[in-house]
Amino acid sequence: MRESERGHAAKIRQERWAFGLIRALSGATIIILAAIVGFILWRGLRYSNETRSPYLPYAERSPEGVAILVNGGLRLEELDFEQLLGIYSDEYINWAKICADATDLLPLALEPGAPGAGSAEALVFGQAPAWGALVEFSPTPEALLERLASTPGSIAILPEPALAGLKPEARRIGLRRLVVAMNPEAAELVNERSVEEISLGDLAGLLRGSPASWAALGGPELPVRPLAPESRGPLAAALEAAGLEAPLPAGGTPAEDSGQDTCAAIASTPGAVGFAFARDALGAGLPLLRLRGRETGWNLKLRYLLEEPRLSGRAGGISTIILNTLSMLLLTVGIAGPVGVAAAIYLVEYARQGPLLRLLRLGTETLAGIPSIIFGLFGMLVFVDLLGFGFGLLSGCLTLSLMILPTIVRSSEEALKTVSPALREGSLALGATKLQTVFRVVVPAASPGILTGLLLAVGRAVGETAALLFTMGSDYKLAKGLFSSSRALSTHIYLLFAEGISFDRAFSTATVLIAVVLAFNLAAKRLVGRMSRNAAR
Amino acid sequence: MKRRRIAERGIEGLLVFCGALSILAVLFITLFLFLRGAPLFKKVPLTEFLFSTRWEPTAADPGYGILSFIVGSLLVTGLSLVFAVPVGLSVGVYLAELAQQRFSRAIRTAVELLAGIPSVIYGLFGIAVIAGLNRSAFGGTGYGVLSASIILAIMTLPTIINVTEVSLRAVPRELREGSLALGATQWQTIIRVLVPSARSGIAAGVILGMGRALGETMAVLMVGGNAPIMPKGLNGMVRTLTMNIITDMSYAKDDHLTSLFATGIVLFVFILALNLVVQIALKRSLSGAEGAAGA
Repeated sequence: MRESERGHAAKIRQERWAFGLIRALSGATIIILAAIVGFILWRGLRYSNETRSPYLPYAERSPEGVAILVNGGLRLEELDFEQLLGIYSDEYINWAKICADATDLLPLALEPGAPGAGSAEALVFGQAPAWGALVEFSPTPEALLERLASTPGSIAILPEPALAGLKPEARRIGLRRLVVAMNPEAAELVNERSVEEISLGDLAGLLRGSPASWAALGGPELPVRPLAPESRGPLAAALEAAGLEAPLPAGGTPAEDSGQDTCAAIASTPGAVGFAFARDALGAGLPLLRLRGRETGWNLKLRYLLEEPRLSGRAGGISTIILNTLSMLLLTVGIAGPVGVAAAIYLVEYARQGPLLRLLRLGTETLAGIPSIIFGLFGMLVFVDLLGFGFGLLSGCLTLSLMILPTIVRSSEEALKTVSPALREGSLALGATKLQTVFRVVVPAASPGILTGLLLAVGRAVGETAALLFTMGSDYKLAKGLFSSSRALSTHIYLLFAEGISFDRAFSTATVLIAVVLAFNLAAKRLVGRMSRNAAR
Repeated sequence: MKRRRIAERGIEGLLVFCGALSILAVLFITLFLFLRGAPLFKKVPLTEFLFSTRWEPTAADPGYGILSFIVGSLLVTGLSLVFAVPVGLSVGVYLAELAQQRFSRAIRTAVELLAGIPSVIYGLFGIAVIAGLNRSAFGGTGYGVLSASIILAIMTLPTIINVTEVSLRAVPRELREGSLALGATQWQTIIRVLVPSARSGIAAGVILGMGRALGETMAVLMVGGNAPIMPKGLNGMVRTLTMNIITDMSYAKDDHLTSLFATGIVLFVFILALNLVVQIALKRSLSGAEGAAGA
């Protein structure tokens, strides 16, 4: 007896464990949902990317006493030296590769020979000026600023003294031009690897001579020799302004003073490394260390929702895509809604029990189980090719309508079935025809349920991608008509990812999509809640 | 009066048409898929199409073998069920038998919202999180069978949970009370009485989820790796039938395009077969419940 009691207790304990496991797994569904939605929202709202750039994350406001100004409409905070050089030597014709704008680029400068023009020229080109053909020269600072204010996408470089007393309608931006140059011998290939990058955190150590050999970073067996810039020279001043104390004498290996020409010193000293201006380092052909850092900021901004996409979504926002998605939803519900509700009315109110009804139900069930890619194939075959609608809104919406038809039919059926027979009988008894009864009494009574079904169906349609990719096309401009190719939010997300355009933008679009989907689903849920409360009353 | 009768007849006709539209759509989809895809089998024998792994549709001597994709589809789907079924069953049992109202409402909302999340978003999540975790745990690229099936498991959970809960609730009270009255514990009642009597319904739910996993395109496309080879192990890259269709669709021509429709046929046949099984299982579960209630 005692034996069995002990067995019983053990069993109870096991059962408690089992129930605990079941509870934990159930709670896990909520955690999974929260993880997915939370992650998408977090990545959609904030971005945090690893950056790899040879430039130190510090922008000088007035490098060598030169101001860099851009037209106020341009969304740009800073440039790096190579971008500036590229702008003034015809490498860029618009801003798309540099910032989020895609306007044409107009570089402005003071005429060579004008008072003070030399300092701007020296900042960009050093000793050998090579102005690009696109550069527009102005004789005076006043004329230059006027041109700058009146031309969107323009940029100007001019000496600070020339700005004195003027109130430019332009924005001043910073320039990143501090790099870490290394002796070419230190960058040589060893076992098909070479020293290429270093994290910003390790940089300080390297400039203090730790590690002591390049071999520790994957380079050749060569001692690391940090070189300090000439004290009181322009480089030292720039570093001091940046808050960087360039190579510190520490750990017993005092950094050597490189003398006047830092880059020449780095080039001639085996294993040398030190700060330099990008212009000089590039001019001397020195290898630059790439610096790994992390950059964070806001990802989804209001601007993103309100602007048109440009350059396949590289620039601009998603306003036209949102509008296209809306028109797609309206058209789809416009097609599938009436048809689906009518089908449900037939199935509930008219059809007699029997093989025909079973067949029709089987049709709905089967249609619901068909994967979206098959709908995509069918839509492409029939709507796009056979009926000749082409890739466009109409083909896409017809395909989607077929997809969401079963959802609408089933939920409308459920809604119609809950209408009490007393209403129907009363209406018929008052002399109304069957049709009048259905449309004036039964359908209105079932309308909240029908609406819920429509909302759920729309929630499904808005996230569909596979069926749309080859029926609705992928043009991101505003759809001009039923036959114009247009891109929906979901397609945009996929294409941003698949074409390797931008992961951040894919996430901010996904945030918008998930908000829309959740809104539809929660609205449907609230409607159901209200309905059941009414029914209870 | 007569005019009105005619109008009513007309509207009724319209309703009949709408009611028949679903079945018509199914028929048309079947018809067009076969008309467009079957001509491939004049050039490539069906056995070669199904049982060869050589997929080189753009080579000078094109090969159209989709065995690796069939295996990939089945592997990914099967593994996703291995993850999803125990969890789905547990949650279904919890919702039907154990949960207090407050918790069950929260879980049900979560499940409904999970079901509503678009597959392309699951794909993004898969790339950023699942593939990353997979990479740090097992090495490799992180894109492959395992990542794809984890994502699919999450996507099929709602289906399995819902159907399990509904079929457990359909088990007549008498069975539950009878078992408890005979001295069985709650756990014994659930495991020995309720789950067995709801088994065809639960099976239907699992198969329904299987159909959904088999037909899923975007999410697996984004995390599966998409290499057109036989998957090498559980962490190897995989291409499923759906991925094969959507990957090549944008540029395929002539026989290549036909072969994609033929791939569609294979997928469609799988799905129809699963649907048929679901219909039979559901019918049996309903009649079983009725029979038990009658007895």
